[in-house]
Amino acid sequence: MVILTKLSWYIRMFGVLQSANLRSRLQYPASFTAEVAIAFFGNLTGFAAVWILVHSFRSIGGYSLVELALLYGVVTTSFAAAQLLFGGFDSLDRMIREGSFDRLLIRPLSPFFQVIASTLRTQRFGRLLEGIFVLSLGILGVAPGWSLSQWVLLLSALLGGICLFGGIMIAAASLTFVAPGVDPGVAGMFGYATAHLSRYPLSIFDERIRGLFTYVVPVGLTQYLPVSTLLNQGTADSLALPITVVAPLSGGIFLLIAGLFWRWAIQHYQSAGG
Amino acid sequence: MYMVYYLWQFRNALKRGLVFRSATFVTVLNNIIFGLVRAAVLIGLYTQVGDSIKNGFSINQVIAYTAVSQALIGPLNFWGNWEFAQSIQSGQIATDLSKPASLYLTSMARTLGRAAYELLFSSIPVLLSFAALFSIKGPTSWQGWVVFLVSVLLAILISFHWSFLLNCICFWTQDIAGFGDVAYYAVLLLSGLLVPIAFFPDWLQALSSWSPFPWMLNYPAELFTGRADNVAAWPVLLRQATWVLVLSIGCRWFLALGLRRMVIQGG
Repeated sequence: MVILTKLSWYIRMFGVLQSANLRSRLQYPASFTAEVAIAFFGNLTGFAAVWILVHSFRSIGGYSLVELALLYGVVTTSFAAAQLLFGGFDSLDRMIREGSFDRLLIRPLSPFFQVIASTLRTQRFGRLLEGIFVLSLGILGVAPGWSLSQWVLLLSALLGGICLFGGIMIAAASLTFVAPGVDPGVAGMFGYATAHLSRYPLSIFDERIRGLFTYVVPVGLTQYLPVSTLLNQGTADSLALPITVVAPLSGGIFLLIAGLFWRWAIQHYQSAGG
Repeated sequence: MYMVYYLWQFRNALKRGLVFRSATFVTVLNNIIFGLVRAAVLIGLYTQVGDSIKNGFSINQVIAYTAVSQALIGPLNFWGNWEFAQSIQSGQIATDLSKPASLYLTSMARTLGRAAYELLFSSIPVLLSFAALFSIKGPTSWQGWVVFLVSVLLAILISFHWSFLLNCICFWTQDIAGFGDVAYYAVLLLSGLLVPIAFFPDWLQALSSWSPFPWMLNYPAELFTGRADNVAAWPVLLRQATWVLVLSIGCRWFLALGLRRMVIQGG
């Protein structure tokens, strides 16, 4: 019970802090709109790359362009949402270098919470909108007559993806504590690389990559599996229920492990002193 | 004129890279990881269609293209260099203008010095890593290597001039982050970094080849893979040189225009 009250307090505080961040960005509405618009159109180059490959190869792993749009949309939307939720980790390296991380540690609040609530990057809204836009194209292209179970499947893929990408960001940021010599620039790229790879059906890769992204970083379970089940209309209903559980569950377990890793790693933090 | 000064700027920029070795390590690791992702996608696609040659690329050539394009990100300074714009914003430019050396040539000397550092310490490690993992071949003759290296030098010059033009926008707008972002995405797609230009639909291929972007990356990378043996090398070098010329005229003109407009604050 105590844990639940605490958790709901943290969630409410996260909303309060981030909406304050957002309001401060909105003080310059033209600049805010421009940044979001540029990020929206700019991120579309990512989908343009998929479209160019489809143009050359006709299909990718048996997926047509609209089906790829669905997969791309699910991946990008989850990734951008995770970045909005856990994007504060991007500034962790700066906090540690400038010594402001020490300040977080002496406050009676979870440092994890303080880090994730510290930053809000306007560009992420552009990526989120781009993801939703491509996802909508995909849904409109393939969806006529989706059953309820298919919509639930889509939601479970998004939820699983947010947990998974959030977990990657947490785990990568935790490395900063354990290996202080490693430049934290490393931290950001694992998320981007995973998001980039999982835009494509996992079936086109060789078994080592498939294994890595199924058993170690289960992006195959949280994104590819539910989307491919969705598209496989015939088998959908018999398989939909277990997979609806598998996607968020595997993402959630990954997030939990990443969180435990953070708790362990933060013990190894050594302040630069001063 | 002031050749010694420019050489000194070049050498200093080259040496400055050595101070930030861990940053170079991250760049190299990042470029290798993204290269592996790009290569994995392309290998998957080639396996799927079963064609040994697609759009003029064999599978090994397309992996070589991926490797060399990832290797060139560092020396081309693809993610932008806003040093000059920052000097306009901070007023540092007033001090620079009081020196008898040209702003444009000083900036070029620094960029080339940085590029030389990146070629040695980021391009070579990235290429060697890919050579260890895949069977990629560079140019087969020494003439091929000379042509490739000249093409890379021209690409670095195109990239420098493009970036300098963007920096000059700061004379008018105070802040160029938005322009920088737009340019970043245009370069990302049209240079052939995401997908080689040869895979583009014809109309987009034609459109991009009229922009400076593929001449920064796609064509030099094609010269490396040997695909360009069917595409003669000289026209590529000629087009690149033309872009350098056009952009350098643009830069000097833009700079003169901006300087006339500039007001230095304070006294």
